[in-house]
Amino acid sequence: MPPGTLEMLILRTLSIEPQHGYAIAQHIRRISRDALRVEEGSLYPALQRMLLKKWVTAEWGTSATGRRVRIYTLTRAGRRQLGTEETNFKTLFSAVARVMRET
Amino acid sequence: MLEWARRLLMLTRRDRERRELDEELRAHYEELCEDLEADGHDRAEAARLARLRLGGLFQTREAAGDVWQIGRFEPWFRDARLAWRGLRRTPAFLAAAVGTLALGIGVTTAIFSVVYGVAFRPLPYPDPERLIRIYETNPANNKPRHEVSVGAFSEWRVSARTISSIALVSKTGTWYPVMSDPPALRTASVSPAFFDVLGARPVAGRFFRRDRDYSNDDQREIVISHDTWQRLFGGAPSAIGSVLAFGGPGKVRSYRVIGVTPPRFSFLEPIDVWTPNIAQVPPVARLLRLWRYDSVVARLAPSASVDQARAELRAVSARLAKQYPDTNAGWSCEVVPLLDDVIGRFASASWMLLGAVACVLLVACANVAGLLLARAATREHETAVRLALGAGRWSLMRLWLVEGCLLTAMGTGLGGLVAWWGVAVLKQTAPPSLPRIDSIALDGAALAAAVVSAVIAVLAFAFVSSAGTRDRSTTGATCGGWRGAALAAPRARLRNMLVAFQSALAVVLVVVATLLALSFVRLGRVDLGWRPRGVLTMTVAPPIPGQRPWYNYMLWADDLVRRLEATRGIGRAAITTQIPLGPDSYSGTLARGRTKVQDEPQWPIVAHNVSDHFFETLSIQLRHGRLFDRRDAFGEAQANWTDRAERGAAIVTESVARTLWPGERAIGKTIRLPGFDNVSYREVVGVVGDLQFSSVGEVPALHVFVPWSQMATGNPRLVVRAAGRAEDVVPAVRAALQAERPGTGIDRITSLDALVDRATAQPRFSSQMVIGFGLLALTLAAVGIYGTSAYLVGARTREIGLRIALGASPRGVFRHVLARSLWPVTVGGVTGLAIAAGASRTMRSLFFQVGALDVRAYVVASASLLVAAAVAAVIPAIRASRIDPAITLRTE
Repeated sequence: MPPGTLEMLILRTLSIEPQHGYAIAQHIRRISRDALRVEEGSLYPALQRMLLKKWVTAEWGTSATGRRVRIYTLTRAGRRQLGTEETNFKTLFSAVARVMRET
Repeated sequence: MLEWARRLLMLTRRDRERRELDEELRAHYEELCEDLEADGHDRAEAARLARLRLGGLFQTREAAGDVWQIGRFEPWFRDARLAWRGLRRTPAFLAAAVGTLALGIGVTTAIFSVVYGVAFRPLPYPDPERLIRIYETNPANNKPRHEVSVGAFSEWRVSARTISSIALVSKTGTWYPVMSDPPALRTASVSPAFFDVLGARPVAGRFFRRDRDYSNDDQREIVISHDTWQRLFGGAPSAIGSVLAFGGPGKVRSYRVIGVTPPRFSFLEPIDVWTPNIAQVPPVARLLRLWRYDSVVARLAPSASVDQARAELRAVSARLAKQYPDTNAGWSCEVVPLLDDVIGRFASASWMLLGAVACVLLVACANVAGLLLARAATREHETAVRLALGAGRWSLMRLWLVEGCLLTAMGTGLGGLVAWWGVAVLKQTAPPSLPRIDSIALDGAALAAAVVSAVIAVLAFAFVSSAGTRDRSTTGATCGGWRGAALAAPRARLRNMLVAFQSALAVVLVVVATLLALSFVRLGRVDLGWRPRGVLTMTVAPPIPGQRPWYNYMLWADDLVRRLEATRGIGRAAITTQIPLGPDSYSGTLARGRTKVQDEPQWPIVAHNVSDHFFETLSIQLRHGRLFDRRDAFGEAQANWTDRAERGAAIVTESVARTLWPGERAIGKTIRLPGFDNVSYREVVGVVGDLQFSSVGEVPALHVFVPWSQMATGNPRLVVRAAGRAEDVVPAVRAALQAERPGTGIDRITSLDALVDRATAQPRFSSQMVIGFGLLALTLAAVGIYGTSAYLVGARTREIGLRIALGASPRGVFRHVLARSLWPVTVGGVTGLAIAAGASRTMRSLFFQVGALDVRAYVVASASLLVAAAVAAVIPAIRASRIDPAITLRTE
């Protein structure tokens, strides 16, 4: 996965609803139909970085299985970041796609 | 910025954050396991897959935690903790390394402080680098920088364009205000421009006016020092305008106080009272060109250089020499920056001290480098394990760099204390004749010196540690076994180089120290031509002169000497105008014959007016003829300054006799002292031995003595030979003076022994310092040699054990180890001797009657190095010869 992609996926996932780490991983896996296998270990450093940048906030809550987990919520700064990343991604994607079609 | 603040905040709750991360990860892991089990994996398999997907709990936690680390420095802190723990485990190493460093850095800083304070700190005047001293010079004179005549000064003042302002300073001796128990005030008379030249501002009142003619002013003006202001007036503003009366040389005169100098303001020596110089006239008067007693200080014009000023002033002097050949023929001038002038002969010594202390620092660094190298060897195993576990070269280097920094920091801190203490001790013990002792302080510049030393040290460590890690295979060391000889080899070579380096530096220092010590011994054995033992000197306030000045001075001196010689404990006493090694030097010129002839040769001389027993008091040896006695006394007929007798008597030194009448008898010859004398000519009645009068070890100048009974002056010095110690007769002399005339002012009481001590204090100080450095370097080198040999023996224990087991004799092993240890010492020592020969040739000016290639110094240096090295290497060698093969071989 190119750098920054994981953050974008997490932001996208959290834009639907606040979730805890495991749920984020599961969500990415499920939606991508197992194509994007998040190295689940790298999820947490990424989440810490995003906390530090105030894109997300974390609060302790309870998971569906009744465990004490940290639930991450997207902040306004995070939503803005998601917007720019989406734009960047789309620009990049369409550019790459054009190049691939041409040759 | 905010992000940084948050990182800092996290630092305080890091442990809590770690626990929370743990909990979060555990929840994730458990959920994952459950899901995997739900997918049909058995429990163990589920756990394995979960761990795989999480990428190892421990690493994940570390990686997530690392997000919070503060910039790129946090690993350095971690390494610092690690290094500190490592250092604490080896206290002997820690103490040796930090101690050596502290000594090296501390001594460097202290010496740098002293040398900087004395030789390099700018003088305490505005724009000090533009200040110059100007001297007259005459190749016929053995004094390369001679005082200046008022005539030459006036000519320079009028015509020089390269200087913006110039001032004349004359020492006018000690004055005593008319009051009971008067304080002795040192005076100087200066041109009105003097304070402007030095850029001083009055703290009260004003300074002299440049546009005022002070020669015809009845009420004279004086400027007093801040100290005198406090002492006599309690610092009251009313002091300005008040009047002080002085009974100094000449008649009693009143002076109005017009200003106060800033605190600690001084020029050349502490002065209490400044009077305006009345000599502002062009050099018409012959005597004003002939008498060369004064100092000249000037400020360069904004665009002029010292060289330009020198060229211009020399041109002026050349013109004077042509215009007035009788007084100025052969005289030129010399221009010296004021700072160079103040430092004087200490300049070359200061460079030598800096060089010597740099050597000490280098030896200390080499020593610590050697210690670290040995440490690196003992940690080979640890290093190899780290490398095998994937530690990068950089992170290993970093750990060692941090360790070096830690040692240096501790060394610098401790060294700072050593320096602080050292500066205090040096200030206490430094000779008072060392210029500018007051400006010595442990200061920013010295601190910078310490930092530079520390950086040098760190660089040395970095070099050593990188040399240690380079070419190191991980396999060799991890297997641990026979790591001794084979792996030690490249490092041993490095250590040997360090030992050779140390030995070379130590030899250089010891050679120079020995040469200085030999010089100093020679200096102490110099025959001065007079004996200082038991002689006390002082300046005495003369009586108020009255109508017949010199006659009164003469009667007073006669009476005083008789009283003193009648006092118990005093052998001989005399009055003179100058004392040996004293501050004054009355120079004049000497000519042969009774009358002046065209183009007659004249010689620069030092002239003394002395009372009868002067020669006995100073134990000056009479060679031919007689000393002064009653026959030389004038009657009342010549009671005034202006009454001239036809002929008088003189005593000259052997040099004078040799120079003026080579191969002839000097007794009965006639001489004249043009401009100086009150008689037409003098007959030589005696010849005394040559004298070293103004400095120890000088080429004797030409001295001429005239009897006090024929020419007495108002500037008397008293010399008294005590039966015992000079200091013991001080009360008796005081009592005699008070009995003769109550309230007599006395100043500058000192023994000639103290003056000799003072005159030789500076070379003694430098040579003691360098001898100290030599011993320090030798000790450090010995420690280094011991460390190297001990390390080599340690590393080769098994090999040596095997050798002994195979039949090597303990004696052979002993010899082998000793030879191996002494080999680099010999190489370094020989190199050092060569360097020392080169170095000491460049500092020949610091040695006295000792050649730069004096064999004794080189023998002493080689011998002391060999002895130190042998002592250092013998212990490891003995240990090697006693290795028990059974034990060493069994440990494998």
